[in-house]
Amino acid sequence: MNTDHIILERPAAPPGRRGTLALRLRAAAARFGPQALFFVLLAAGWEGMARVLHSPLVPGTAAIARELVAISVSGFAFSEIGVTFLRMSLGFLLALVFALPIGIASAVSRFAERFFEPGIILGLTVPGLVWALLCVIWFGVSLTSPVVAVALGVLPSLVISVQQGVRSLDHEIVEMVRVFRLPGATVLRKVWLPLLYSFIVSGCRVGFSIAWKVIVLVEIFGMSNGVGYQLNAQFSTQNVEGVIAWTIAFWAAMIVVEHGVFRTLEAHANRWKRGGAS
Amino acid sequence: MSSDIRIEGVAKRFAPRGTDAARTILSQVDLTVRAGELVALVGPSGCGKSTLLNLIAGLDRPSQGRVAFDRSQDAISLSVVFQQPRLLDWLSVEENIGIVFEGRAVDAAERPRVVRELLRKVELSEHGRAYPQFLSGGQKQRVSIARAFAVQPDVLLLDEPFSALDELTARRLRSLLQSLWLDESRPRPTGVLVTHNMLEAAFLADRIAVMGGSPAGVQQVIEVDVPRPRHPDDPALFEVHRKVMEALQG
Repeated sequence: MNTDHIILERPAAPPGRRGTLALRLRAAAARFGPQALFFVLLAAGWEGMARVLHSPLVPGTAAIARELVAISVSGFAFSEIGVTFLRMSLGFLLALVFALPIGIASAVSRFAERFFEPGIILGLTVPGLVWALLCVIWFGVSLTSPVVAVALGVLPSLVISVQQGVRSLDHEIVEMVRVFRLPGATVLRKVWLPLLYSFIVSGCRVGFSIAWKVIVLVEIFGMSNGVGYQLNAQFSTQNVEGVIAWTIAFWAAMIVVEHGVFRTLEAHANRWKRGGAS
Repeated sequence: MSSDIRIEGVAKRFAPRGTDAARTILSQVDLTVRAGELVALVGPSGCGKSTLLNLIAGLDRPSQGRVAFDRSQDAISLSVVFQQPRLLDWLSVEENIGIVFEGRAVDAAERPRVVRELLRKVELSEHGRAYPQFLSGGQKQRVSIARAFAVQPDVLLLDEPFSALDELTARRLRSLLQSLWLDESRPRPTGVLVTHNMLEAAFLADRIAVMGGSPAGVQQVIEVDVPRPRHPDDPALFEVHRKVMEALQG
């Protein structure tokens, strides 16, 4: 058999409109069914525990839902989550500004790799709590505290992502680029950035979960608004349903970011793995 | 405009990985590839064929001697077809070919036409918007050949271009390369082909430089006096093959 003409074709055209709808519903059920089941069981388990214990420390799902609706309907949850996200995003951008040159340098230079290695290990091992405390001490109640704390918290994982991205570039591609004398700007635009794109996106996903843990601490210790501050305020008044409602609200916002931003970026970065160019 | 390639007294020494002692791989290599000619380099594994090709490509520098062209190396348009296609997975087939126009004086409006024309010649017109991972090995190598011809190279280097393919595919691509080589609509480059396949060398080359010895050098140059276009089953090519084998064994 002549293998030269074999091309991996995309699946055959789907059946008619009704069939397409049925297929989509089935796909959606397969995709979201297990997750929905998880949340139903979690809520049921929690409700059961609340009824058995009958303690103000374990509020029922109705009380939590009431609290959640109250902070959402007033718009308060959105403004506070917005403040927290703004701080996280600025911290992220700051980390990215440093992660790109450090990651690239430590991937291409043995000296730079050895030079930055202790810093990366230090950054990975220092708990977010330490960055939060130090930044509040150094910068006080200002935007600088959360931004710098988040940047310090996520920088190591972003550096590692960039490093892995640069190292994934095959030496053979470097030779090809040299032989065809591609200009530096082309190499950056068509080789480096597309290659680093997916690594940076996955680094940001990991970094975002780290950033959340850092930002909450900074807002607890040194801020007068934001999700962390609200969690602390609810804790101070022993309002357990408030603590849980704010956690759920932020968790929902994180899911929106995950699906709306990271999954979209990831799909865009990996579009070449799925078929023809659009 | 194609150019002579003059390899003059070239030697190459380097230390194998993990050792400090430098070893001489090539010694006193002299060979002139005339403009528009295709010369095949053949010889046993490890005799320095690919090293010599890297020196011509400017990917490495000779320890002694020089590789010269009619003009300065910067003024020479050079293309390579590698053993592996070396395509950028995240660019479509069209973009992989078109990328070599960057930084070159090729009219931006003309580029898509050249790419389409080359895709037609390598029989991939329908796959211009596909990404490389959806192509077979032979199709990828055809993209690599189209990319190499896109810039109308003065010098075309072929580093075992068909050795990673099955024989049937390789045979088709050799014929494709021959037809591109004989294409009168574009200037013919000067070519150097590194191969382990003596029949491939006989089919494609004007002359075959047989390398060998330790350190290696060019031991014999065999003329391939067979008119083009050639047929892969032409008995005259088997006669050339016999001569090359004799030279290698002798």
